[in-house]
Amino acid sequence: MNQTTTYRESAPGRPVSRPASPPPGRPRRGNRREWPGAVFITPHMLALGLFMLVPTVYAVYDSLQTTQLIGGTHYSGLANYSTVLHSPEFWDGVRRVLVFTAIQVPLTIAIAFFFAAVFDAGIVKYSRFFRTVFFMPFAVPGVVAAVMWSFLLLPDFGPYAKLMQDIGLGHVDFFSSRLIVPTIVVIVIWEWTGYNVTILYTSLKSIPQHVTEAAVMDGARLGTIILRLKLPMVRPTITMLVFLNTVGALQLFTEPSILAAFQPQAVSYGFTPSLYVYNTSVGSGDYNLGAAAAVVLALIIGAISLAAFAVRRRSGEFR
Amino acid sequence: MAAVLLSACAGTDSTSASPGASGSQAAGAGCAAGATALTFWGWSAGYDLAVKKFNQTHPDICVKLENAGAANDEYVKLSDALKANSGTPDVAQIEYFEVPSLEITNSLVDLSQYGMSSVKKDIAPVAWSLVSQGSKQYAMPVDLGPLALYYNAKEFSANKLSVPATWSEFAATADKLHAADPKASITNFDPVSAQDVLALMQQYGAFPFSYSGGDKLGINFTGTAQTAFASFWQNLIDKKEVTTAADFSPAQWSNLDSGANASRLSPAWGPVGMQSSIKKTIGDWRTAPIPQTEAGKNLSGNWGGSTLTVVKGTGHAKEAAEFVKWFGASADSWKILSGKVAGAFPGYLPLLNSTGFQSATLPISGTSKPNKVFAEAAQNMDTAQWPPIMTAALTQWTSTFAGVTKGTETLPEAFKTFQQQMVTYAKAQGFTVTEG
Repeated sequence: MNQTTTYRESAPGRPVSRPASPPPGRPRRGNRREWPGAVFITPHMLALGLFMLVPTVYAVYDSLQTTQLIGGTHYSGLANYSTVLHSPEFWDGVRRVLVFTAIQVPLTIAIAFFFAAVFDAGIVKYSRFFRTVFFMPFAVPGVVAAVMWSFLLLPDFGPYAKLMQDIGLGHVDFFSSRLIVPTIVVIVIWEWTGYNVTILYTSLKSIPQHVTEAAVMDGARLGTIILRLKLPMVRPTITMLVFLNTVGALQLFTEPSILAAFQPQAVSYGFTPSLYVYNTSVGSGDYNLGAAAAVVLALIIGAISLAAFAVRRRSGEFR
Repeated sequence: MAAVLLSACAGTDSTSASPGASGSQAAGAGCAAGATALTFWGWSAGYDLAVKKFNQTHPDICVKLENAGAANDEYVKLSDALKANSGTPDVAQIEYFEVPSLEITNSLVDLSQYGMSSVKKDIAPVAWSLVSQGSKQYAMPVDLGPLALYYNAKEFSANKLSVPATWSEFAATADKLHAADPKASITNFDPVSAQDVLALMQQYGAFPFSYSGGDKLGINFTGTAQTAFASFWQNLIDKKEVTTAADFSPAQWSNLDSGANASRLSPAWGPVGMQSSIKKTIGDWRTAPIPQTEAGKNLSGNWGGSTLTVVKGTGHAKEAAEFVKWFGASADSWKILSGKVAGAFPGYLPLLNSTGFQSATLPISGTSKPNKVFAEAAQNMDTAQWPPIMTAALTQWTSTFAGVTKGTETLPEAFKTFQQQMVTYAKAQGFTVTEG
């Protein structure tokens, strides 16, 4: 998944999004006191400008041109957008990542919350050790993980295919058109659960002890404390994780592109929108069409993000 | 900027050449001070050894080999560098099928002006014509991949099969084998591997492209010969008499080793890799000419093989040409390239025709001499007219033909779809397309 940047920029505890200016009603601080802040954010803004804004503007510009092997480059208006919007391959990929997201994100967070709550409740020994073990897959680069899983799941040869056969499920091909999406869901959950556990665990730990103590005094059972008390208290964290995981999932790229190297027939040209962008740009040398598809994908993800913000704002998260 | 610097030292005076970065590279590669530095993008095994030898024997030139990725990875980087007009190498390894794509973007130096004609007699004619366009020559051929039938002799004799000389005999042999042993298939046919299928089509007289430079391009996946080819293989797939494992996948190797595949339609470079991927049937494999469309013919097809090109923008075209000429057409170079590490199959005739080369043996095929058959095949190939849109063709091929492997569509259907895709793409790229 392409989540790496998105995720790692937003380290635990640091809210990803803040209104650009202090909300009205609070006294503004004097300009003189703001310059250290400006110095601190300059590197980030520079990187953002160079590696985000400039390429974005260039992509938009590129998407309005058409380059032909015979005839060179010329302005072609929205022709590339029309091609993308009428491409069944592209929409096929969009549908697939939406389904993927709808399955993977809730599952990952549910599993992560379960383990975070278990660690937080202190009911397992060596929780520090297990937390580290859970986090380890996240330290494995996505490419390496995908290669590893490709070998493990290889039909006929991988240990899991053998296991399926041994327990009587017959010949299971994890890369068949029916199972390829679930297979990727499993890989991605494996990669990202530990990360989500860490964030949720931190968030659970920040709940003041006396709140839990009061609940215990009132006779609440562990399950009630976790589900009725702690879960609502970490809801902002969960919303944030849903948002981050969703944006990452919609950009699904690494896993299918690596699987494609092992099982070319399992992953089509436009398997995900990101793969469509890659295959048109790099694979077919049509950078203009690829740029248009990238812009469309960005708009789709932007719209989903805006909707998510609206929901979070309504639930009163940005006070 | 880099281009300016490079052209500034195009005077090729070896003492004033290679300023800046190139100079330090030259020193790093252990070359004499003042040698002309050349950057060479290549990926094949053993190329480093050949480069080392060249640098030792040519003190005035210093070639530095860089691995910019294999095949398509390299082509992408190269085309990006060409677009950016900076960071291009002097020499690049390019497979035969990709040469026209670079020709059309005017990215290659015409080598005919650098005295290449002196080595023309040493290069297999088919290789030479694959890289030439009229009087112009855009690359130096290196290795080739002529096809032959590589079969498991034990399995053939156990099932009382004789080696098929024609494709109809091949189909009959497939029937007979499958009847004798329902778990056995005559061979593997990977519909998703474009280069494999295109090489077989070429051999079948059904190569779908015609192109001789310029903006006219013929695309024909639906003609009589192409449809006959597609039906031939689909029929065998339907009867489960050929498998459709991915080329070079563990499944393919295991099929070859277990007897599930009794033969392989193998390129000349195939046996070396196969030898390290199978265990049980080492020593059982023999080589025969590939089956023919008609008895008495002896046509083969080419799968793979590389060339070296001199990339536009180089300030040292003359030195680069000298290097590629040495690389593809010298005994020194081929001693290394045909050695154990590189294992390339020569397009270089003095080696290809030599008794020593043709009588070489491999453990996988016992005391037999596979090179003799492959060398013969190398002399019997037509020139494939690769279109300048192969990058796109290879990318789209995988998706379009995946259904044949899965069994959700037939090969003739995939050919029809692909015909449409290629025609649409070529037209969008501004070509005048002839179908059929």
